[in-house]
Formats: sequence, C-alpha cells, structure tokens
Amino acid sequence: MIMNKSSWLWQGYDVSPALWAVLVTVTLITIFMILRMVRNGSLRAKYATLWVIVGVGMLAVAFVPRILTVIRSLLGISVASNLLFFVAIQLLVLVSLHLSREASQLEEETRILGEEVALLRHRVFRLEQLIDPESRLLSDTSLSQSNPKPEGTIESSKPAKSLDAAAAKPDSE
Amino acid sequence: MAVPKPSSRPLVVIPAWNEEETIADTVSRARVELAGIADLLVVNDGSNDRTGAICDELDVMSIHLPFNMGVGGALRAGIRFAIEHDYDGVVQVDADGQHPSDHVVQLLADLDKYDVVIGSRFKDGGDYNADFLRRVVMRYLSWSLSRMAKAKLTDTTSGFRAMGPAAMELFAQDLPVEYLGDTVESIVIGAKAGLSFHELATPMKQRAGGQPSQSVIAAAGYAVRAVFILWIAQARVLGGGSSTGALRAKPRVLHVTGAKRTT
Repeated sequence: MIMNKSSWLWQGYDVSPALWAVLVTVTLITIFMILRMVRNGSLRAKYATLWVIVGVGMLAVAFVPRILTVIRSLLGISVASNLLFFVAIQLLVLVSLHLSREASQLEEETRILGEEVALLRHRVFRLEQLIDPESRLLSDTSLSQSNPKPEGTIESSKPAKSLDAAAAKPDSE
Repeated sequence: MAVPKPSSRPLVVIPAWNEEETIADTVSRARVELAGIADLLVVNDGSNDRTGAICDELDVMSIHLPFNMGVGGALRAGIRFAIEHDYDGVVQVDADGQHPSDHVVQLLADLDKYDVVIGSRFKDGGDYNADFLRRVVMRYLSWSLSRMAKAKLTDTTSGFRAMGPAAMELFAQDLPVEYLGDTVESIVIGAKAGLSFHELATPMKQRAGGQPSQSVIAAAGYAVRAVFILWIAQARVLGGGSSTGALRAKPRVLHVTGAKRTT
C-alpha cells in the first residue's frame, strides 16, 4: 500500500489509515469544488489558478508527507506541523490582502460607474426636456434605487416648478 | 460684485445627502444670491429621502448618484460635471449652505492667483471650538499641511473652497471618498501635484445646536484617525496604486467626446 511506514515517502510519519483517508478525502473534495466552480464560471481563472495550486499542494503532502520533512530540515524548523501552520497562515494573509486590493479596485470602478451614470442621466434628462419640456417620462430622480418616488410627487412638482421659474434661474439658459 | 476674470464660468457644487429639510432653503437662497455669479449644481449623493425629488421640483441643476459615496465622492462627481460642461472653476460648499455669497465671490476672485482657495472658519481669530485633543490635532494638521502646501492654512477640514482648472483636472481623477479625504487628504494630493494654495477668512455663524465635544474616546478616535489619514496620504505616491492607475485615464474620454455646454 502507498502508506507503507517503512517506505521512504512516509519515513518518520505515523498516520492511522482512518486519519489519512479523512485528509485525502477532504483535499479531494476541495479540489473538486474548485474545479466545479471554475467550470460553472463562478470562479474566475485568475483566482482559480491559486486555489488549484493550493489543492494540488495539499494532495501532494497528503500522499507524500516526506515533502514536509525535507522542507522542514532545509529551513531548520524542528516540528513539521509548525511549517504547515506557517505556510497556511502566510498564505491566508496574502490571499486576504489580495482580496482587499481587489475590493478597493472594485470600489473605485463602481464609483466611476456611479459618476458616469449620474452624468449620463443628467444628459438624457436634458435631451428629453429638449424634445418635450413637459415630459416626465424619466424623472431625474427615479434613479435613486432606495428612493421609490411616491406617485403624487410627479403632479405636485408642476406648480412648484412654475412658481420657481419666476425666481432667478442661473442654471438654465 | 465684479465677476472674476479667470473664472468666468464658475460652478457652485452642493453635495447633499438626506438633506430634504434644508435643501430647498439652501438652493433657493443660493440661486438668488449667486445669480449672475455662478451656476449651481446639487449633487444628490444617493439620498434615500426626498432630497432628489425636491431638487427636481425646484428645477435646480442636479445630478443623482445611484448610491451614497460620501462628500468626496459627490464632490468628484460635481467636478467631473464641471469639466464636462466647460466650467473653469468649482466652489465646494457645505450642504447646510451657510456660506454667504460674498465669500464665494472672494474665493473666486483669488483663483487667478491660486489653484485652490480655502475658506477658513478660524483665520482672523475664529475659535476652533473643540476639546483639547481635537484642538491639538487641528493645530498639528494645519502646521503639517501649511508646510506641505507652502501656504498658511488654519482650517484644514474646511468644506468651503474654490478650485481652478488645474485643481479640477487633478481632483476629477484623484479625490478620496474616505473620511477627511475631501479635505485633509486632498490638500496633500494637491500639494504633491504642485498646486498653489491660499486661505481666506470666511467666518461662519456657529451652526445652530452645534455639537459640543463628545466623549474623550470619540475625541481620541478622531485624533488617531485624522493623524493616520494625514500620514498615509503623505506616504502615498501621487497617481500611484496600480489598481486604479488604469482607471484614471478613463473619465477624460467623456470630456473629449462629450457635447460642449449643454446648459
């Protein structure tokens, strides 16, 4: 069997078959989930690459624990699990840092889109008014998603508007 | 009141977030007072009250952000609007509109000499009106920023300022949305880009029911945040951050292809 304790690959490790089975199963499920998410298109390739590499690494360690021993002695770490923890924690820190960066970028992109939407809407609004000044098809405010405009507002806006037209209007023609 | 020469077409930007109670007042007053001096733009910053509807009813020029971005976000949108519509000066005012129009004119008049003119509440003996810790922080901010901007700045968190074309161009690209981003951080950004700053005394009536100093913890929180924001801003490389570098160029496209002067 693979996990023959006298084999070079398993030298220094004493893992019960049950535990080993659990480790391998968990790893395989993880890899399967990653691959399925890639297939679905719910995980973009640039993130998938990282996780596939992590999954393969986990699998490799599960089958050949000796890898840990080699790296451990290279780095001079006395307990193999410490190496594992170090690598895992470091990886998670880097991944979350990366995600924070992605989030910042997305926020900036969203902000630009929001600005563009507001500016374009203003343009559309003005164009509509040019075509038909009475048109309230597209109220300039109906955009505010959290602001469902009460029906009455549209009617009530008219007297207010003409009233105000008498006042100085530096913002129009 | 002579219209200042270099800013022949200034735009007064009023960021408004859930201001349904005050916006009508502010707008009607500003549009009368500023008639012939500047155009008025309300940036409805994703309000979920009737702010936007009121703007429509008043028939004031307004743009409506689809979600709340904060003062910095609203202001940048306003600056982009100004650039797109060929304005050559922007005056940022507080939403409660407590800035008298002759102060607006004063700020605009100095735009022929400076890129950014800040209206200070504290210059000429105005009081910081804050607890000890805040006062210390404000002093530190103004000392540090005055050195950077090579101008005496007493009110670094003033929301009342005018900017000329160079500053508009810069802040249309780079104006943080975070807390103090539109004030402290933007001064750092402007100073690094080599904009010239100037400050005028624009004393304000104290806001009715202005908040007195809150708890010590709140004050300490403010202090830590403000100083951190300053330090991070100072550490930032101008135009840096690969994440947004590619995005920065984009908004100009609209400016170039956009129709001229829709107003």
